[in-house]
Amino acid sequence: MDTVVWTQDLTKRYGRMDRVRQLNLTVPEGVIYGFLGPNGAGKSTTLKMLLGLVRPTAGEIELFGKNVNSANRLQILRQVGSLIESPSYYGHLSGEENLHILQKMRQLPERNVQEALKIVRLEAHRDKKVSHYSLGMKQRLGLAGALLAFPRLLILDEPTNGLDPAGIQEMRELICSLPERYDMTVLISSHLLSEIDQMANVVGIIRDGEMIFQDRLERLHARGQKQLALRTDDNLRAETFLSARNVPVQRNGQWLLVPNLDDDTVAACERLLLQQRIHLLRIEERQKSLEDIFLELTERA
Amino acid sequence: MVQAIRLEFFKMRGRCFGLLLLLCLLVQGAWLWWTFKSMSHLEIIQGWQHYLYQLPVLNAILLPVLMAVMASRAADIEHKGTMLRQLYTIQPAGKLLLSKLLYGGWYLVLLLAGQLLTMLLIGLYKGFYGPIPWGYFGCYLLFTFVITWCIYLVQLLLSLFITNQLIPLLVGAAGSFCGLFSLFFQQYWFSRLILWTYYSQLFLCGMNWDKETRITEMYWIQPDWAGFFLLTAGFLLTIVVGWRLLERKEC
Repeated sequence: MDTVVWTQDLTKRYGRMDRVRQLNLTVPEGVIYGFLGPNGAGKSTTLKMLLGLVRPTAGEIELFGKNVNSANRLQILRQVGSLIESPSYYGHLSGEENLHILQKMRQLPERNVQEALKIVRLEAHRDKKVSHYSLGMKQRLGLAGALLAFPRLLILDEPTNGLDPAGIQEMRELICSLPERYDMTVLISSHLLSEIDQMANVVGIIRDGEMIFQDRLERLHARGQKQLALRTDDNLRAETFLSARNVPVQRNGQWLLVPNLDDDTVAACERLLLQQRIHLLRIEERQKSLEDIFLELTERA
Repeated sequence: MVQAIRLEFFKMRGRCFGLLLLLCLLVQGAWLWWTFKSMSHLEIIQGWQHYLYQLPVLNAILLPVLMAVMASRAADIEHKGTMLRQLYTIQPAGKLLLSKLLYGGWYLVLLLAGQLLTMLLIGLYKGFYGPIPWGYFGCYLLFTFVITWCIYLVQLLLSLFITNQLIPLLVGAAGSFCGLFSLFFQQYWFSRLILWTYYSQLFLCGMNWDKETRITEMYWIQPDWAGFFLLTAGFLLTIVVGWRLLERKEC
């Protein structure tokens, strides 16, 4: 699988503060890459650096295998559509006129305007002034603008911000359909884990400007494997006893955490502990939610 | 570039540039009509010179504010819908500056054509003495165009860089004030450094006023080409610097 976006040690410093620090981002072709992080983590700054709207303090950016510099930036960006922070529009013009401006600037065929309007379901409102659009409609117009050239890479920065639940659902379905329908790679940022969980195949998690996790979504889910939590009347002896029998044990307050063992092994452990006169008081099955994993990753322990 | 200028016209539809210019022309026309309606015989003899003395003063008062408003309207449409972020991923920032500058320049040509027409109509109606001084009129139009376009450029840069449009508008108002009072300090070297003073620096007519007879006598002044070229050089330098700064601007 080819890499569409690749950065190495990408850094942005404002004064003495690193907004983004030595970020290595790799977005494979054809995926929906969820760029996740709390507010102020550096997501928008990173995306702006990819688009050349913010100059990196250090590091390298490659798009479609080409090193991006001021000379070739606009040429490379012809294959990129973007919607950063909030939709861009001329409020005094209609939705269709707005798209016509972008179409002419990008020297695209006229039919792309109609197609983009159709994709985002704004055909019925094409003649309405954008200043009279609702926020959801403006967001959809922004997406239409980004899709206008049917780019190979679509960069969306929190595209569901300010939308109502129905709008979020609609936007999500639309974004999910893009790689298959138009052979696009989507790089989408969000601070909402549930959103990324429902859309992305690959996830990058950023915290305080640093990438702390980057892999397929399943790998992130795998971190939330089931565990068994035990409480005995002598946790210290139980821990030593189980460890001596190659059962990995983690202490967690008054609990001992062991991997999710099969029923027979659990029964055997219980019997053995009893033989040692260690009484089992409680046993629970636990599973970390994706939210727990995200919080664990993004909050410093 | 032609496409960029066409799009600028398309984008600016309904932004009332034409109306603003018409309003300015009406104010200037009304002022001139009021001044010339009760002219003495001597004043009619020197009518064309009176024109070329009064119009730069009127321009110094009105045009800096008009240019500030026009530049602000041209830049504000990009700020309002956060369009700069989108445009800078499609075209070089400098191209946007140039297309807006040429767009403003076109309206400036219309304004000056309107001024010339007003001058000729009033002059011919009042029967100003002597042939029309086309050479001086040509210099007047050229000088006024470059000074005003330069002011528009400065205002445009301010309006593109500063999101809050009140600041560029205040600069425009201050420039107008400065232009009006520049008549008092045009003999000092430092006035060459203040853009808004060029309306008076490039005067093509002077005035002698006799205290005792209370007679005003107008006379021609040779065009100040050195001042004009200095201004033109400053204009080109501002384009280059503005272009580079815009390219470096983060948004």
